[in-house]
Amino acid sequence: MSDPTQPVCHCPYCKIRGLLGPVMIITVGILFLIGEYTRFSFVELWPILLIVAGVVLTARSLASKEGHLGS
Amino acid sequence: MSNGGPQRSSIFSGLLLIVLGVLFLLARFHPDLGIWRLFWRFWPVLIILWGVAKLVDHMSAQHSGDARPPLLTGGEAALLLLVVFVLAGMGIYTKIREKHPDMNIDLDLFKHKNSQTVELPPKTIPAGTHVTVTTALGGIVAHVGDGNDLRVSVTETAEATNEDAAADLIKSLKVVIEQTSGGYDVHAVNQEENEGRVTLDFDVTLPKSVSLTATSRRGDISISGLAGAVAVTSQNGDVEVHDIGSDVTAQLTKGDARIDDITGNVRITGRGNEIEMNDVAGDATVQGEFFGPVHIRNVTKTTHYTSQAGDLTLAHLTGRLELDSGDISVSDVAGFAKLAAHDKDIEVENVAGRLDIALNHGDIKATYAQPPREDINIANGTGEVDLTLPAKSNFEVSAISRSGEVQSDFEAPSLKPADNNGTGTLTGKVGASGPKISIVTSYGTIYLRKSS
Repeated sequence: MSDPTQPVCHCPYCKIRGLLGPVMIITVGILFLIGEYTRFSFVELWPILLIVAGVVLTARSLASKEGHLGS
Repeated sequence: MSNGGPQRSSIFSGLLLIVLGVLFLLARFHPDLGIWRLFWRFWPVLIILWGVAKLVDHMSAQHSGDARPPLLTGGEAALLLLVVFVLAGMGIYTKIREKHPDMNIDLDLFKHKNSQTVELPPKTIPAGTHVTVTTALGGIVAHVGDGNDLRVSVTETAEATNEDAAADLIKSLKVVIEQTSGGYDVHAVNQEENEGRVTLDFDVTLPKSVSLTATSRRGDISISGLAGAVAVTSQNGDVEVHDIGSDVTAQLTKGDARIDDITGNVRITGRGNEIEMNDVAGDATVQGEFFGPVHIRNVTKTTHYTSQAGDLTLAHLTGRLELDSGDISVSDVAGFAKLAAHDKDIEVENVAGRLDIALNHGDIKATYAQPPREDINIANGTGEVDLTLPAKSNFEVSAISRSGEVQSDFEAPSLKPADNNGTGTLTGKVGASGPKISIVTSYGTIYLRKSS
């Protein structure tokens, strides 16, 4: 998807932005595991997803864009 | 200001998600906190959060020299709209659940249930002993049977992630009747040590003479017919107690209480919604926060109601006391009535003894079908006072409205209405010597009416 003519940006902002998807998927997996092997169920724990997403989004918007490449 | 870099995103969406996540978690694990109710009251905090987030954006944008994000981006607006829809949906869902609790909408898709009913061997217990029934999750129904037997029937329901686990849970359960120094103790061994959820619904038949303590962390409790004292603790469920020959205490955290036909004293403490109490031969005491409506009828001794919204004491309530979020209404008290409240409208009818009302804000309406025999003392902060007395009443009145007027249907030679710089007063005597009536309000009209 990324434009080959443009160099990949390594500023903190873009790094964290790329994190959101993977982190959410990992969290979903962990929550299902917890649901399977402890007394808590996924149905009880899903709001943790909101919190994780919120933390990543907040971190992203507070991250510096020093050295940001591209538009 | 801008160095040409892309606009940063606002921290608002992130913060909003964190707040919502925490709210959902709290609501799930501490249902007794009444998170959603608090949320409905304090939702404007979200607007403050929005403002704070934008302030932080502004400062960090200035700091880094980036372009400041706009007040509300399309993404944030969509997120907010989604939140509103979800919350409204949850509100409607809760309302439906409250109105039709039997509908049993089960959202737990990941659960398998397994259930069985077990009858424990009946146990003969001495007359007048004490029985304790405890369940962590599930209801308790207790009633009186013939003879001296304690009979326990338990419906055990296990929920787990698969059917085998649910069946194992049921197998590992054991309900016992244990003899202790204080009496008999009915409870489960290892109801909570398991993963998954186990519900134990007790149906207990007792000899009439015993006293009973029933405790459920989540489930309804219903007790009837006992001659001994009853103590009920329910953290999340309704309590129903009727026809008891001794004292009743109920501690609630959530839910409704319905208590009828009690020979001793009744004491309800904690938090909850509705209270309905009828025919109590002793004192009736309610202490705590109940959202209402609260109906109390026919209490032979003293009725005490203590909450943040007010403090009421009624001696021998032959009629009824009703409270809801905005109103207090009392009718037919054979003794004195003392009401202290704030931000309520108060309506009082037919108090035979002395009447004291202290209110900071709200309207007060008092009506007497018979001429008053004892003093009436009404102090209001902001609001009207409306007192209706029979035409043949004798009394001595002193009414002051600091920024208002006093209107009177009664006329007597010694009755003097006056208006000094906006302060309305009415002082004097009506008829032969009678009780003293004192009415004070800061803002609002005082009406003294004759009933036809």
